[in-house]
Amino acid sequence: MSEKPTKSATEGEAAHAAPEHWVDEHGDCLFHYALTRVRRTEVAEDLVQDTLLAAVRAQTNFSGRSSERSWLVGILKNKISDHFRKLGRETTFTDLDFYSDEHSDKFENEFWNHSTGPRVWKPEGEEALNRTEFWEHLQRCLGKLPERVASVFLMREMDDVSAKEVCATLKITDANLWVMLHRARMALRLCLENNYFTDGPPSA
Amino acid sequence: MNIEPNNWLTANVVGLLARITPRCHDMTRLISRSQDAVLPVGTRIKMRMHLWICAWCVRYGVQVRFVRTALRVCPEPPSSPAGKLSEDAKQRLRQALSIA
Repeated sequence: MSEKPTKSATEGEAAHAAPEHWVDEHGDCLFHYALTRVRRTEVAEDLVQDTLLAAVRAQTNFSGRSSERSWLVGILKNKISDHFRKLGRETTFTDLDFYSDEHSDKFENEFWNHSTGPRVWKPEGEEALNRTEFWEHLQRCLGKLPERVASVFLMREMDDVSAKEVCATLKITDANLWVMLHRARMALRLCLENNYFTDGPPSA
Repeated sequence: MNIEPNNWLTANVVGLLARITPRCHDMTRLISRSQDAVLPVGTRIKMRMHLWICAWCVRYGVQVRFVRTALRVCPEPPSSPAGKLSEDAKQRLRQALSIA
């Protein structure tokens, strides 16, 4: 967003009346927000479009009390929830593969196998957060999660939606939620460990 | 587990704790769950005892929590072009808006 046009405060006030500026001013931001949550470019683009169209229709409701951007992000959030709700009705086969126990080699008699269990991560936390490659790997690893699992996981981890609400939105049981979250965390941790945090070959 | 092999007492304490606390496989499940719900006190104590003797589970917990932290501070600036709308997509959006 380097070329983002900067507006003076007074101009900003009037800007909400001009939907044709929305694409340039907020498009990237909305798209990025949607993409990190739904992970598929086409879906994210559709969501941004739905959001902008809904915004045009609802324009009179925009009080100007909040900033235009947070108003649009608010609409987008609802659109993302709708998308997840629809997703909740579908089951995909990839989910099933995901649940087969790929981590069995990590454990020996249910204790960590000391040579394949969690390793010390380098670079350490804070440092990793400042590195672009870390974020790229994180996105790539998120991309490997089955869609439904990812939506559950991101609602919980990124947006801090309560467990109860996630279950209601996606129409899943409590037990199902715990399994999905557990699997997602395990898979994501392993993916980061194998691809980003150590230079060595992935543990067998 | 980090024990000196010839330290008989340590080995026994560790062995005992390993027997009475959840196994690592179960610990990973509990660690995940503790991020979404408050676990019963008994479970939390057993987990804590397990963590005294198991560096691997400590690491697992730290790393899983780190991923959550990372996702919550998730950067707003779309740094790579992949995080931005393509020109085509922008054009489509403008068109859709002009019809609306």
